[in-house]
Amino acid sequence: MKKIIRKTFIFVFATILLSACETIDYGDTNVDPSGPSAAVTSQLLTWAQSYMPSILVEEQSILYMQHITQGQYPGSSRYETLTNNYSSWYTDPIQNLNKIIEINSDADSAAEALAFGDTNNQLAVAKLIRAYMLQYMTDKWGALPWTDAFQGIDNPQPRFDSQESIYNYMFTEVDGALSIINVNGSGPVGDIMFKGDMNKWISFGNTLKLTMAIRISHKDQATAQSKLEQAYSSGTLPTTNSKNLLFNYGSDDLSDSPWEDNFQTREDYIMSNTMIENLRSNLDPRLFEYAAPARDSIFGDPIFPGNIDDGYVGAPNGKVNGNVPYFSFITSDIIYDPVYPSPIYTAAQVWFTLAEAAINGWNVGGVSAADYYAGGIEASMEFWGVDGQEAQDYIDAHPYTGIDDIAYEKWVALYLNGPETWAEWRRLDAPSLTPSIYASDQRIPVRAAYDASVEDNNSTNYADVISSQGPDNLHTKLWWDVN
Amino acid sequence: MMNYKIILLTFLTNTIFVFSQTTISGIVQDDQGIPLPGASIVEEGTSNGTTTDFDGNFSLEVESNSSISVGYVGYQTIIVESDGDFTQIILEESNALDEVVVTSFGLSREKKSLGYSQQSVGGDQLVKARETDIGNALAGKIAGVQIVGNNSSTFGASQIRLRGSDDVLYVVDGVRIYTPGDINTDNVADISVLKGASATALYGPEGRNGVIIITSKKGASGKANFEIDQSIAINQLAELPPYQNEYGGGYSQSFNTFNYDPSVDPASWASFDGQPYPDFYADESWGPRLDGTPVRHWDSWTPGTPEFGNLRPWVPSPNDIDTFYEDAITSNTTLAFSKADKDYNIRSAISYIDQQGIIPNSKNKTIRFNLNLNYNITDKLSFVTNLNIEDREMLNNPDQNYGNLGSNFNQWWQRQLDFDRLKEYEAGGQIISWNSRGPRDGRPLYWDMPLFGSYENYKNFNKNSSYGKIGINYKFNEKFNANVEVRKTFHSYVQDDRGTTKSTLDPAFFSEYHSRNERTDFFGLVSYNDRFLNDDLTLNARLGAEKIEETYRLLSSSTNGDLTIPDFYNLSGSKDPVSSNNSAIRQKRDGIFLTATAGYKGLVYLDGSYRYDWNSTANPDANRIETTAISTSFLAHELLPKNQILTFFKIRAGISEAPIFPDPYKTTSVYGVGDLYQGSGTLAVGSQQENANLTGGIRSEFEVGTELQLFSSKIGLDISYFTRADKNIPVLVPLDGSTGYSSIIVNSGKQTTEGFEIALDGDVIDGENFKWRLGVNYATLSRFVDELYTGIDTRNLSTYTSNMKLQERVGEEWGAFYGRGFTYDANGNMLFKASSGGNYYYSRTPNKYLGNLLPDFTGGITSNMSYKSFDLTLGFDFQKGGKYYSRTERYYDHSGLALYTAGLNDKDNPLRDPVSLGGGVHIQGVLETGLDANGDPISDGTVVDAYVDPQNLYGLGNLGNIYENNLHDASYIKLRTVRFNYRFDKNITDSLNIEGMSLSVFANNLWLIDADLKWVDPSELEKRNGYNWAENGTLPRTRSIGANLKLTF
Repeated sequence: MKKIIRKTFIFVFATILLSACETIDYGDTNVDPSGPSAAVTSQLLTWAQSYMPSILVEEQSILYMQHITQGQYPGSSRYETLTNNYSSWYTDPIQNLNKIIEINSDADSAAEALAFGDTNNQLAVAKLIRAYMLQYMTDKWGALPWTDAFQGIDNPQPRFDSQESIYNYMFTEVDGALSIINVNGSGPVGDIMFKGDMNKWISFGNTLKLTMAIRISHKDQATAQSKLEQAYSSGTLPTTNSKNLLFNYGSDDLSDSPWEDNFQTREDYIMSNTMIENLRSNLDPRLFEYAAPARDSIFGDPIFPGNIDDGYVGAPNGKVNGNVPYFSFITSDIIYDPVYPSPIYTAAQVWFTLAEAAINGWNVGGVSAADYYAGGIEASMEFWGVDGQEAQDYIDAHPYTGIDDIAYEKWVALYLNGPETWAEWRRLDAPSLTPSIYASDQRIPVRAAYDASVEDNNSTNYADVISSQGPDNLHTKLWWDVN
Repeated sequence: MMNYKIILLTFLTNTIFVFSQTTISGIVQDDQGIPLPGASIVEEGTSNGTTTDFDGNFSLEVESNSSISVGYVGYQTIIVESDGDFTQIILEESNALDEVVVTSFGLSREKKSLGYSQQSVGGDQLVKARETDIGNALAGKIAGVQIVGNNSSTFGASQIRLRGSDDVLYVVDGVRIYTPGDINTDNVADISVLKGASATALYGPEGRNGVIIITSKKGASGKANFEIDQSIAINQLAELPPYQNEYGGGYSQSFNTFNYDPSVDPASWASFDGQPYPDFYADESWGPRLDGTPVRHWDSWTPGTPEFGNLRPWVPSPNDIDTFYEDAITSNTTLAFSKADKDYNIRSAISYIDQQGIIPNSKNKTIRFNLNLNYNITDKLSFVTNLNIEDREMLNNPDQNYGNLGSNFNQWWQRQLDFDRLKEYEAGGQIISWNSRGPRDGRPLYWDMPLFGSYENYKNFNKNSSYGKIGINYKFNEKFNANVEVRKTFHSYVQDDRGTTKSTLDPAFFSEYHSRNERTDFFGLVSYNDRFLNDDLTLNARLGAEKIEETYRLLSSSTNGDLTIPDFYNLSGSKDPVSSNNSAIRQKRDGIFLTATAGYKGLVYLDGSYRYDWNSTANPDANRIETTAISTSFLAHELLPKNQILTFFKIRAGISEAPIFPDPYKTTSVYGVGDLYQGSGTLAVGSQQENANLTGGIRSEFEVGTELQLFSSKIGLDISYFTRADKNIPVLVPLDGSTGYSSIIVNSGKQTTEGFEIALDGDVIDGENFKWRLGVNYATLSRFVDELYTGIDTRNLSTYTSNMKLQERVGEEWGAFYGRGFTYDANGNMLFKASSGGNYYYSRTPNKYLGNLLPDFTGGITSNMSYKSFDLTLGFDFQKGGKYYSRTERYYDHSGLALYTAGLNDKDNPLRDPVSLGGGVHIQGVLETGLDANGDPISDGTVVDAYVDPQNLYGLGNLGNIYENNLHDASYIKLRTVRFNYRFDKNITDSLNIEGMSLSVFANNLWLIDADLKWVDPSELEKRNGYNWAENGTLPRTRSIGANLKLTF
């Protein structure tokens, strides 16, 4: 009994004492044990690289470009996606790359990160991927927050940088990265793209530079020429298919090809009649490599000798094509093989770009535009497994006549590489594509609009970007898109 | 050991030698002579007490010449002298003069002394409809209480929303529990609902949104009491959406023709050449008219089955969707035992609920055990314990999301399908489906057979939980009392889910999920009661402290890729590396409080409390929050001359504060660990920015109200008004992704909430034998967003794509819907955009304000009629205003299932006929001819008056893209509960040699009297991101009807 009385009084005194406490020390109770508080740069890198397939297999732009169209549920093939949100590019892969750069830029933390590769090589790879992703982003939206970005709540309303300044920034970044790569040093651990092969990163950096240069060539010819010539003279561009820069997938479900995931349980994408009819009318042997014959019905109107294209049927763009067995699918290698790689940069693409540089009279080895053009077709045919003679027959039947030929061949060769096909189509204004007649707005988009949250929560800068760039819709041309 | 001996000795001494004992017994009845079971009988000046049994009888051993106080919720408490004889005690219904109610920490107080709104519901009111869900049991009974979020065809528990928030604290016999699903309604003696911060201040941060205090039944003194309560109910489909039955499955009105191809087809198929077949691969119903044409149905293509090769007529379904759902039986058995005496009170109950779902092969079995024990060790020292244990096993809790059965039948279906033919999902050695890819490819395209999931993709859910406490109470003297308790709540869940290896549609998988919640509360309270000024001034002061520790642990794992061994469901069968996630969330909290109540002459009461709280989740340098509350009650009728019109008139007011702390782990961030990618580990910078400066904040609330009793207390009225402001509390601020983060939690912003709550009840008829009492309650609530963060004016609360968003916006009422809407010109004409082929599109206004989630008002009506031994209880509840989004309707239109997608147009032609032949839907409006400066469509006034193809009009790309079309008024009125009860006469029960017997018939969710879409009950909407704002493939609502027999021995 006394014990209880004593305890009661202890309790009362304890209560009074407690009330004097300003704070109570709870130790590490509020530290989340589910993740580390220190970063491992190799794992940050892998995470960032795992976003590459979102660019390489971006359905929206492939649908705009009429390589494929949709079955029962047309959306992007009717240009129904009126806004796209850029946020996750900043918060996910790029924030990770920023962290790698931050860690490797500070002497102390860089020393700790040495276990994951040479400091400069880690910096270079992070900067190159960041520039690659930023190019994808600016080619999609145009002006974007950059100089003011990544400051969190300290600057919740970042200003937008113009596309021109973003391109200037990217050239500086790429040049900087290329200048510090140390081929004798260890490549970054966690580099699932090129397994730490720094020569491939040099090739990647120079091809990125080449691609950026040709993109701005209608707007800033001087910079374009100088950067393109530098890239060419580096001698590191993938000019043969063996040097192609490919994104390889893992065989497990979390690392495999997004195409395989798309078709694992559904059949939402079918060949567009634009692609099929272009290949058929040109007797292009890539038809049989790009597509599979329709599964169920045959609406044959064969053109090829021996009627071998009987059953190759493309669907009208943006139509509700519910009966998908009537139409050709993408070739089964791509849609059912989990490890079928996605091209990042290929020889064909480089050759067509060099062909255009040759037209401009730039110093790209003195090869004629026609030869580069023919080489591009040959590289593309080879890449897709077309027999050399068939390729030559096609080239003979389609001699070079001018820039529109390059544009058309680029559109064919970049099959399923949506962002690059879309950007080059916008820049070259060819080939001529007929907008879906089923769309409520029958115009092929030339950019993506910002998500409505930008207008809500960054209103002043949103108003500024509209006044400098133009209305925030799908039809405002970007800075480099001259016509 | 030493202590134990002392206690035992004290116990023996006290019980055997010290007191001169007598037994008082009697019956407690109301003024109609109806026995009051569960009335409390307490020996004055002691904690010795009991409760009455089923027939109102009690017996209590007391000291000679002592008196007992007799109380019952809703009735006046009276004091009776014990004279040793059997006493008949008549209780008058309370006129609020003397009603005693349960308040914070289970303290009983006279209701008249409370400076805040409090409403009680007695346990007998709750179990009237034998409702196993406490939320449904409370629906419509209390002003400002809404029931949300459980479809009646699932096994989930609904939630109670108090003043707009469902983050409500539930306390059972002093123990804070995690979910209202843990409460056994059969054990409840009383529920006290405390809505405002003045009332809940003592609960600290957890009580900020209101507290529901549940008091369990206690044992009755005297002979042992044994109760059997058995009910059987049948739960049935109540409503399906109205479907069209004129057209069957398909994407177009023509059949396909089978073209025999000798290179791929067996020779025996040659005779099939030229036969018509529908679009099996379509999961929509824009197909051919159901005119009896003989066609090759889906089941005629599997060789070796009886239907193989047969043509059958294309006709409306003879066995439609309603035949799929089963009549589900729920059996609920409770056995309760209780006994009490002067020194102890024990009640123990065990319940077994066996519940089937309306979806085949779904069941839920729950066993609940409960023990309540009070024991007086000495006359000063008493011991209390309670223990509640629950075991639950659930199979296939019906899922309500896109892709489930509700979505299948109401969003993606072929109308002609005959459910009798869909029962088997395997034939000829393969998995079959009505949704095959074609005659030559029997694999399902989008959907397996309806029963495939129920019988192949098992989902198991097991719950083991317990909660309870032990405590001692020491009474130093009449003035000082001390109480110490340790309370514990523990939950463990094990769930698994699998996708069968038989599936030809989806890769097989197996996942398992283990979690546990644990909390321990240490609680101590010292109280002091005194009277001054010749007893005119009463004082009650309490000093208390609590220490709370909470831990949540989670381990979840899932296979990846596929399963490698047929029909083996285990993580070890994974094809690719298993994904696992484990986490722990810990939180510690301390609180101390001082509270005092002073009363003067029963005329004025003043309540004050002062509280400190510390929480581990705040910035360690500023983790204390100080809050105060003060309230007063003034009994104005005491100043008036006694009269029969205004018998009671109380005015109350209070100002209070409640602390609000951040969630755990917001002050420091860690890297997110992802799955292996191509064999390499992955790590990501967190997308929520950390905020080291984050502290708790304060909600302030003002409440004023009045309680009136009129006409000799035949009519009672309770009115409250409250306003609350949340300022600088931890809130989530969305950041533009370009800042590198998607959000941050900061002490920021301001939101203001206010509302009225009115409860009126009274006797409509108060006759000798027939009585009818009616209660009506009504509440309003508005919440305004004054501020979020500098420059940030909008936050998404939850979305369905960017076209339908539930938002909070600065300068607007909270819960605004923004999304893609219709466009009208200044004269109210609908704008259309012309398209090719004579089609038109509805013009779209993006990011348009479409309405608000919050209703204008909510309420309920309760009717109690009694005649002799019969009584009839009806419970209604209603809501006016507010909106919800129906995702099902969007697809129900698109897929041509809706009744209005077929039938005749205004030219009396089938609207699905070609427009050129007089078909089509008539649209009228004006033509979109451009965009204004905001990018919204405008018209030059060109008239649109056309007939258009319904498949195009209702399609996802047209009307389906106008999300406003699927936003609906959430108003409803519903007859939720009905119970008809008969209590057997004493001569019958005597002849059966039992104490009491009653039989009742009840119905739940009986009648949704009015709602915008009759197949969606707005009070059963599922939750999305924490808000009940959208249905997403809802399962059909149900009603249940049952009978209940209760026997007491």
